[in-house]
Amino acid sequence: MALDWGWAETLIAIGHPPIAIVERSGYQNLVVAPPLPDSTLDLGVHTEPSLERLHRIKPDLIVSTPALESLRHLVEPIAPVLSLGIFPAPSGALQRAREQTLALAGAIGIEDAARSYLDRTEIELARLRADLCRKPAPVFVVRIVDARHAVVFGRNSLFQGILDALGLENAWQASTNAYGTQSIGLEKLASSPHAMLVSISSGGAGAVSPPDGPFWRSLPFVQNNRVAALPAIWGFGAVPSAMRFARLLAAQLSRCRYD
Amino acid sequence: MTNVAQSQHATRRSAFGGVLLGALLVAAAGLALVGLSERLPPALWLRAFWNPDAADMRQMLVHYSFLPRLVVSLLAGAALGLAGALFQQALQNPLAEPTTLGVSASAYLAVLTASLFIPAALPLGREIVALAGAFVGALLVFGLANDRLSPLSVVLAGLVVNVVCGSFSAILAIFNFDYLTSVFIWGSGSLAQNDWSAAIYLLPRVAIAILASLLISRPLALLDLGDAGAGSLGTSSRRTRLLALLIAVGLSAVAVSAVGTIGFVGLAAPLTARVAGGRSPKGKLLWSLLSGAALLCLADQAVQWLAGSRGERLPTGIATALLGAVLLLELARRRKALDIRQVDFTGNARRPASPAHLMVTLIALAVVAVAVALVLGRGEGGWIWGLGSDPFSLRLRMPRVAAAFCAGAMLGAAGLITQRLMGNPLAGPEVLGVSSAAALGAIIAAYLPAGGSRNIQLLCAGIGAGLALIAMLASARKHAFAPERLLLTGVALGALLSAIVALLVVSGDPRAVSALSWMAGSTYRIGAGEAKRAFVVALVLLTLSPLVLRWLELLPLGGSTAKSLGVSLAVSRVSLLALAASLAAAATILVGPLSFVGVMAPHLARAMGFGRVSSQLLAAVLLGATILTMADWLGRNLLFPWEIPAGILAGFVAGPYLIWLLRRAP
Repeated sequence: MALDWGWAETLIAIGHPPIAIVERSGYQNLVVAPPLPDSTLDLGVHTEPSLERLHRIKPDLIVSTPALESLRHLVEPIAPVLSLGIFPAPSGALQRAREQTLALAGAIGIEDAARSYLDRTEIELARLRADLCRKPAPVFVVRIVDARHAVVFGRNSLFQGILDALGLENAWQASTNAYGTQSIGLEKLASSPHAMLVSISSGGAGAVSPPDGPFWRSLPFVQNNRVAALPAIWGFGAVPSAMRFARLLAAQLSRCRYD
Repeated sequence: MTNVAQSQHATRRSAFGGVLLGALLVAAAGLALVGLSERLPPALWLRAFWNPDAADMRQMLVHYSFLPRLVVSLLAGAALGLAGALFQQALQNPLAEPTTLGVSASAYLAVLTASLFIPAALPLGREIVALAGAFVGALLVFGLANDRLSPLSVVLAGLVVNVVCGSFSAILAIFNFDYLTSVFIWGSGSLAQNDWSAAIYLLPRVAIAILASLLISRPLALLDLGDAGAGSLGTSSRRTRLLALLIAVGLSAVAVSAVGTIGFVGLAAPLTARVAGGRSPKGKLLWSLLSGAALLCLADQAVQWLAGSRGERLPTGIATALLGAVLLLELARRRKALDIRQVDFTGNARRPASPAHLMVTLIALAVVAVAVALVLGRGEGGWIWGLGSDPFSLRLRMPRVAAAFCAGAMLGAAGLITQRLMGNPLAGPEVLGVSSAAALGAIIAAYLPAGGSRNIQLLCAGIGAGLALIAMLASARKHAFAPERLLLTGVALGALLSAIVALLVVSGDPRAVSALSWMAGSTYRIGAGEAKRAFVVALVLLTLSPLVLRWLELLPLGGSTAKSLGVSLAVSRVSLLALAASLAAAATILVGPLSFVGVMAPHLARAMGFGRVSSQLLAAVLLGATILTMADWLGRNLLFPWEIPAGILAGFVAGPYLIWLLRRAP
């Protein structure tokens, strides 16, 4: 069973879906793929998963993250706890996600499945990169939250590893929090004259209509028609979410509309 | 002689205030000029102001981002400063501000609800949703405060609306954390602009409110004389108060809907104005308005200056809270500028037919609550009796029930002592600052490299509470203890805490949701050993409480009366303070800084008719314990497997009861 969406999606991707997960409906709206099996139970809010239900379903292993360390003394009497973290990842969140995927698979004895999954993602990334047209402009990867603000993904975010693998430059080089994101006013996106904007939908109830107005229309990427809109992608997940980003982004960029 | 001294004093005060306000304005203007020249060479300023070149991004930024933001900060600051002054004058309580009347809380809840459940309504304008929410909240407050509109009833009604709205908002935020980025950013008070719409929205509305408030400034000033005094001079104090409150609600609703929750300007601006010596009726309001504009503008310019070209974004609302907290601490030091009206706690009690019977009923209720919380719970197939058949469930529930019970009991006692000590019905245990300090410690722990295991969290919370307690007692000894000084310090610390929590939430860091649920008062993380320790601590502290009954009885009669009856003010106050703070700290370490129970339980005890301090104290302890135990049980089962923190549900349980009480009161 998994107390974190990133590890839930990883378990599904390597063929060993969890029997229960926190915030089931949130996973369906925000992580979206890979889909959850129908049998997966909901454990409630992720900071306080239902201990009584957890106890009754008798899991073999509880996969958690360091951010939930304060739960350890509560869940440890129920089943062994494996705590794996990706963030903060100064050396690259995607690389760290790969390493931890192997650690997770090792703990449940399916290391081969994980290895072959990771190999497949490498091959896929190389193929996606080959399909891109010429080297595209630097990209801002953002989630627009309202008419004046966005959350931008920076160097130490999960998506940076994908940008690197696809040979793309991140236009946001300023500081971010431990999870590689920063909430900013939209005017901060005006700084880079050649950048394109990759706008990830917030998903579910968080979705907003795109901004408008004279200022928005004067932004370089709007003027040059370099805005790519992607559906919801979970920015704090693991390898599967990163790959979802890679596929959706490459599908937009390979059409060469933005050069 | 006295007159000369007074006028000298007033002149000095006015000079200090003038310098303070002048310094604020100069600093704000200076920073704005620096910011502007960094963005654009002065030769292009005029052009960018009036007719920016769409091809020049710098001009576009100045015209559509920098300038409207400057104007919005001035307008919103003026609105909040004036609103604060009106609230404080109308309610005769220096703790009254836009948040007191539930205006911000109900606007926040409205926006939260709309963005979750009817996102289609938001394109209509968040302004409209927030405005509607704010006015519904204010209407509720006025409705609850009945036709009397006495300051106390309005403030209490505001408290109830705040608690209920705050509870709803917290639960929505915890359950939907990942969908609500936009609401969190708005709620943290961001002034970022990219067109003139907010400025154009604010200007006429603020202007009308300023004119209206100047028109009623004279009768408003008469409220200082008390209801009877104002009445004898031929003004209807009730009508004046209603008008002032309506204008203030309108102002804060407009500000909130445009720029989100900007903490503290409404509180700090009138205080600055009072120090500045605005004594005439119009002067008071105008000085507050100017101080508000200067404060918010300075905070916003400072935020932008600090951010520089880097992306780091400190929301302005959080910066004002930080700035305001510092200012408030300084003003607390100059406490001569303050005048808090003490509230009479001895009357108003309706004697119960039989206090003994009522007390037995309360005890029985507490026992039933504990029993139900322990053995009854929901599972996959419906309700399950946990006794015998499933010992593990009992083992899971025992620590939580014990913690909720002990924390509730301690909060009840701490609340009663604090309210009597401070002579302020809004003074829950959290105004002592100890809870805030403990909470700050626990939150810092969550961000330590160690990952914040439960023990480290407890240790940090304990250190925070201990430091605050020592500082408080040291300052109380040095300054001959003044309730109002403590009150302001506590409020400042509380504001600091909520500012930091808001900052964590808005930073988008997923760890923030842990901080949120702890702040909401959850018993979830309490283990068996901790519950046992909690029980011992609660027992020891509550056993000490009967020793202070005499002081609690005499102190509210006023310092001189108490003194003449042989009470040493210094000893009694410091002892009471230490006891209340220890109770509050222990409860906070257990279940977070949930204050509803501490504020409500003493009110309920009084309203039930327990007149004597001893029975009031016992009733407050029992009520606090019962409310929190039931809230914890409901929270675990209502939405199973989704858990609602007990503090939030305590708000649901206690809020409506207090509403009923307010409506029933003679």
